[in-house]
Amino acid sequence: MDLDLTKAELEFREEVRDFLRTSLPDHVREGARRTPGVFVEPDIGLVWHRILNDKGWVAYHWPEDCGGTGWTPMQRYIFEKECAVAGAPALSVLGLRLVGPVICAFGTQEQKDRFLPAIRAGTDYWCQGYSEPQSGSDLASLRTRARRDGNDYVVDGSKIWTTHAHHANWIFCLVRTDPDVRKQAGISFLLIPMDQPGVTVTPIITMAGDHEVNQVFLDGARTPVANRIGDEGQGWTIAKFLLENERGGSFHAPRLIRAIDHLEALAGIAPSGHNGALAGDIQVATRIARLRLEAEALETTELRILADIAKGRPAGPQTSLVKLLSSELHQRIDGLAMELHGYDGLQLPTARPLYGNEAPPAIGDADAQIAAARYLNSRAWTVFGGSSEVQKNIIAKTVLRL
Amino acid sequence: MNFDLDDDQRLTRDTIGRFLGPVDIAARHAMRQADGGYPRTRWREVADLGLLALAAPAAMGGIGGTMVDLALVAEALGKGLAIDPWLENGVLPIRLAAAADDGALVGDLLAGARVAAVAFAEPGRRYETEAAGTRVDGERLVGAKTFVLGAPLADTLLVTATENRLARVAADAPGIVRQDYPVIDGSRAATIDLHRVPAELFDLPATGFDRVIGDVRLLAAAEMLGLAQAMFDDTLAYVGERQQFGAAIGSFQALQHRLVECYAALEQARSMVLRTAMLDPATDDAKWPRIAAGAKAFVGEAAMRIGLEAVQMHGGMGQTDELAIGHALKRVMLLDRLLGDQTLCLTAYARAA
Repeated sequence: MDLDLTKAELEFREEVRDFLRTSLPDHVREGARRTPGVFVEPDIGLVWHRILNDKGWVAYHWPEDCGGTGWTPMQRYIFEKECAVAGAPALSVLGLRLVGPVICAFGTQEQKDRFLPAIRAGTDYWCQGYSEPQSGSDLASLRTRARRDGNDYVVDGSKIWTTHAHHANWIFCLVRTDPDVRKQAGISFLLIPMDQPGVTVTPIITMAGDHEVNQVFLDGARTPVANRIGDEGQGWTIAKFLLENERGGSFHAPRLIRAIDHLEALAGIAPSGHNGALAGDIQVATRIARLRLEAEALETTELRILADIAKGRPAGPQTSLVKLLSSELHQRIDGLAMELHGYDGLQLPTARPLYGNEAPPAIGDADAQIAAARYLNSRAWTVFGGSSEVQKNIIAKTVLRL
Repeated sequence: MNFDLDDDQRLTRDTIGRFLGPVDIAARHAMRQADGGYPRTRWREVADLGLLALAAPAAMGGIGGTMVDLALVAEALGKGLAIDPWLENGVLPIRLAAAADDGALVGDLLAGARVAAVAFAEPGRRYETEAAGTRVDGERLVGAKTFVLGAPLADTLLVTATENRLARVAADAPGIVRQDYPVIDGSRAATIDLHRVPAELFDLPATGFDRVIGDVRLLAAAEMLGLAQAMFDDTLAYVGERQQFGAAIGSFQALQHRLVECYAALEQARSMVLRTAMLDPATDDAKWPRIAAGAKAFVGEAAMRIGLEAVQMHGGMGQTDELAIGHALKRVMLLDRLLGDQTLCLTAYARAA
């Protein structure tokens, strides 16, 4: 048992650091820092996406025959950690992490050839049609119907919490193709083009004032049968594969630890109210210390899962544990950040974006301007990708066998 | 001993409930489009209801309500998710002006003829209430203030300065540089730089100032109580309606127990607000700010907990701008920090023991 990196891994880390030093543009780093939502907007994200693609690293976690890198799990970890430390933006997961691996695993060669290069190039932008107004935690109860019409499916229904649907040209959807069987068995996985009369996107504004998610209405939307991934009725199996990727596909601890580093730096400059900095306030210092311990433990939990994967053991429901822990830790870090800013942390600008020439001036420290919005948006961490309540149900059932 | 409302108190509560009506998110956003983030015509209505006069002493033309009366108003405003800045642009300046013996200003303010904003917070500091970097130089005011709630709306600024001075300045006085910005509850605040601003100066004894701070802290707690009640009621209704896995989600024990904990926190918060308000007449002014600070810390913690649970139990909907709970939570987050966050208020209370 050891935590040491091999010589080859250390060399790889140097290569990644060099690349980030020379290739991550300042305006991309700044845009990421000043984005209060979960994902950066395409004007920031696609810049970085294309730089990574030019390097051959954008789909590093895909199988090699699909354009992946063939990196070991440890290399992936090193890459993600260095990206976090460098302040690189978190790219939209929808193409790269969600539908991409699904197509790699379940798609035909024609589907791989059609869709995977466009995801890597960033020319297709994806959104996810999973949740519905009446089907959130109980996803399998979804009602959006798809019926066959010649070589097409015709889809009617509505999807909700659709991140970046207003930027997307494709949506992957869980749809009901057979209403007469057990609810999980009647679901199929379709790829549907957004640019057609049967698809309407309505914004949903978060309580922070951000437009990230939408409701998508499908009224006679059409897609060729050739755009179904897997067999009819195989959708639920694919959905679970995708959700496990969503929950455990990337490492959370590096970004959390970096956020805690920021908290410490902020505490070092924020006034305590008694002629010193907040870092000297024992209550603040111990709160940061507690967060750091949790993040460090989480990092090791993630590395343990990674070691299992490297040895060919399934990660499975452990990803629910990481999702549960990391999302709540996210919220606590963002909450403390807002607190450290004092009254300045209560500003909540209505303009977006908060980077670039049009951004309104900040009151106090530049980071104070997005602290409240980021905290409010962070409440969604314990809801999207399966709420904390759902994760606990999964762990109770599949890990604890209760 | 009696915890029942009297007829006047019941009437006031019901009148406020009718004035506010059901929460209408679109109407809130429309009202926030007004200059300064709040329609001045509506402030006249608040004055006409007597809610401003209630906070002013009878000797200055007010009604001289008790802390219980005022706490019931704050709670009713919270319960109805009022956008009206009754606390920060009503009670706070009226009571400060009264403490400084500026009867003329009190008269204008309680009639709604003038709106005042209070500049107490200073940049580079935290939640301390006493002025440190704003001072009187000759007859002129010099310094800087931040988080001046409602400043874009105000005709008059009340500015705290060192050596227990309170300055009354016209909002458009020469030498004032104001930068407006939106805050978390949807209202507007400003930073204010004071470059030798001509001012009317008053002595404001520390005990008088601290007494006002205590009043506002308790009323912030009372408003948070009303907000927490609203968030709790909405959540209880929602878990009864929302169906998942073939049942109302309120039938799941995991949620039931959490809701019971919220209910317990809410009842405890109500007891704390009532207890503190009723203690007022028998309490020395010197002890009052600390007692009120303790109440605010206690109620703030309960309201935040209830608010975060409300958001979580509403799932995706809870994250949106479309429901009352998000708006209520954001107001709680402001009040929880107004004139001191939980840490500062708890520290103040601990020293009193």
